[in-house]
Amino acid sequence: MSLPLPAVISVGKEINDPRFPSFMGIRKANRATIPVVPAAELNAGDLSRRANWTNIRKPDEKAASCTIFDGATAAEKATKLVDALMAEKVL
Amino acid sequence: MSVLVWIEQSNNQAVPSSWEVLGKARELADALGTTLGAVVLGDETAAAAAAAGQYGADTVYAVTSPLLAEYRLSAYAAGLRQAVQAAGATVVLAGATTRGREVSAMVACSLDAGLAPDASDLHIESGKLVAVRPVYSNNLLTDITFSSDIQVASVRPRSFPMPQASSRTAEVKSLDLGLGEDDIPERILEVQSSGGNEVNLVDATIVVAGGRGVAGDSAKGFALISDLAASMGAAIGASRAAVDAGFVPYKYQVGQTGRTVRPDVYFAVGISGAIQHLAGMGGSKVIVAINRDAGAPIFEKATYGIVGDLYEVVPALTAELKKRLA
Repeated sequence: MSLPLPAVISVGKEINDPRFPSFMGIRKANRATIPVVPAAELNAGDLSRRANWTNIRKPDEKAASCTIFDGATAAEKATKLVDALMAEKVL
Repeated sequence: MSVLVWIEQSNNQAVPSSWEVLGKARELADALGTTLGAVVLGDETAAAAAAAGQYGADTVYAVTSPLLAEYRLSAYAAGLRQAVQAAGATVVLAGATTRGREVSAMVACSLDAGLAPDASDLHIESGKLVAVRPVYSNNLLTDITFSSDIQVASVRPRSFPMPQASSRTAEVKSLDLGLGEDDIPERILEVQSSGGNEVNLVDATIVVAGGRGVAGDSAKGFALISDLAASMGAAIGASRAAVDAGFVPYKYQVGQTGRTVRPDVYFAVGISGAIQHLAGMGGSKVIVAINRDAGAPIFEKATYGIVGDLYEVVPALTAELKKRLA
């Protein structure tokens, strides 16, 4: 794909393995000043929210009870598992 | 006021998650007492437009143009915006696929509308849309409410059941894209397909995933996993350990830094169940764990488990499934 600049490009997670920060890099980062620009100076227009996060909560925990299928052979265990999956009608 | 759903097409076929969203949107439109529109964009739209009627749309807005033959964000966002305006839509929905996320975001921005990305549930409260969104790797849920008139949301695939097709037909309205090739900044130079006819991981109803446990003999391990998947028409997935070790490419990775899946059944084969992996598949309806280590954390999340050597259990399971599903 080609596109004219300026452009916004989002990259996938697989594009690169980030390097570990170097000692010098960490020291430099500590000394760096991060510029703070007030929103009004950015000319960004109306910054009031269009969407709001409310009622932030923990999801209900799934009742965790695992049924382990035992059997003398792998085939026996597999049969029991397939029985259970068929009974649940998920296959 | 109306509800509008983007029906995404891939190779001129509607993607299944679009119908899931359309089915839910029918409920929302009924709750709001309004009409349900669907918008189909592409160089071919007739088949998807007809199907949208069967899945519950009252009106289908078809934007048919050779400029839409390949997916390009600015062209598709422009087409969707045309439909939002034509429909007078106040609720705009898309599947939270790679494309659906960015198209919905761009349309929300350009219409100065609120956006609920990656929603897992939707409902109506006092005439407004409320979206439920899992955040922080599914460790928290938040409700998203809107203060804008137009409310845009993208919906995680497999959040809602596939609706039943009926014999209804929708009124199809053709819209003009209103763009020329010169108005679209992106040029597609070449399209390369990255895989064969595998089942799409995110849309799959059954996923078979392999982890570090297949390391003993990775080539054979993943061949066994492919056989098991093939016996059920399932998609293949992998844990990060398996991807990092180079057993399978990144596109198969399930978890915090990979895909999020919520199939009906998830087979975790030789996967210990690190919290980052659970974040990507914890929403599955049924989780089956196959692991040699009875103390592996995956068994705390699993519905069913088999403790044993995957090189014995998986072939036995494949054979049993072939027999029973034949």
